[in-house]
Amino acid sequence: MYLNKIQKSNKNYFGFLKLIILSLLLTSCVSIPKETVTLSKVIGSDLNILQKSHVNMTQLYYQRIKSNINNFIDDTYKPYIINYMLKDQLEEFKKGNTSLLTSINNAAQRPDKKTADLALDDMSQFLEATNSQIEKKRNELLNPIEKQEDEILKAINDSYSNTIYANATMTGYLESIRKVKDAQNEAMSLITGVKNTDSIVRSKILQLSDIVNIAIDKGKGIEKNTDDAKTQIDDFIKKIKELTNKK
Amino acid sequence: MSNKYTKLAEEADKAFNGDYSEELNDLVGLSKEELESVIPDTQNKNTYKALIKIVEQASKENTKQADLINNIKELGEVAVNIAKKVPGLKNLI
Repeated sequence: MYLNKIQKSNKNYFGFLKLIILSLLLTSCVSIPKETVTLSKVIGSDLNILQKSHVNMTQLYYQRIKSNINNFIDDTYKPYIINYMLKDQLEEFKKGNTSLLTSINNAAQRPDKKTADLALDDMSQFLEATNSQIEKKRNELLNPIEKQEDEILKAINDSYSNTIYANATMTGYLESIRKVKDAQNEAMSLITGVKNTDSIVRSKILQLSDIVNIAIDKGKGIEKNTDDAKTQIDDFIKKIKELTNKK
Repeated sequence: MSNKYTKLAEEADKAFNGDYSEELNDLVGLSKEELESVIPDTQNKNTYKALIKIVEQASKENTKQADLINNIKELGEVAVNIAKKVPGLKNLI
């Protein structure tokens, strides 16, 4: 009875040990090729390129809008404002009211300092008011566009920065796993004296996984309630034995 | 000093806004909806921060593990080298 107890206890112990070894093997045999790290680095570098392209595209789009605004101001707005203001001054002059043209006309008629200063001052004021209005309109149209551009560029850059940083963290993580794997492999080859223990075990596990998949497919095909269920089960067991080479 | 033509310039601007309203509308850039569709709707910074913190910690732990394995290996080599220098043990190694 005591012997039975020891045998039972040993059985449990070995079962537990087998489970630990299998878990260790399965964990240590997860495949992490160095290309995983390379791929992650390539993604990081491509993300940088995509960011530049995205930013350039946005800047080109807004550059075009800004250029359209500047052309519109110079080619349409400026002539309109100058024409409107001069026409107004001409009408006032025709009506006999004081206007820019009155002072210019007076300076043309009487070449003295007073009329010349007055004409010069009027022309300066006219020019300043016109230019100031033209630049005011330019800013009125450009400012919201520049604000919108800044907002989009900030959002794009923030999104890419977050993703690039997260990817770099993942690359670091993959590299750290690679380091552990390399160290484990070296330690394993020191213990077993066999090089590439990791890839040998991994290939065996992959073979075993294929065998188990085939066996599961076969097992699912058996209809338990039919008369030939026993024959099917026998065939199934025979198939497993064939696959695992166990006679 | 106030400019006597400022009012006239503003009046000209009002007239222009009336005559060129369609052209001005074409120059306003993206609408609110268009702007929302263009701005990348990615995860917020805090979500990234929290996830990155965990992954970075895992990386540190992995690196420590790798260092430990390498240190043990190195320690073994050092022990063998020391043993080689001991006359009695030299012949056994």
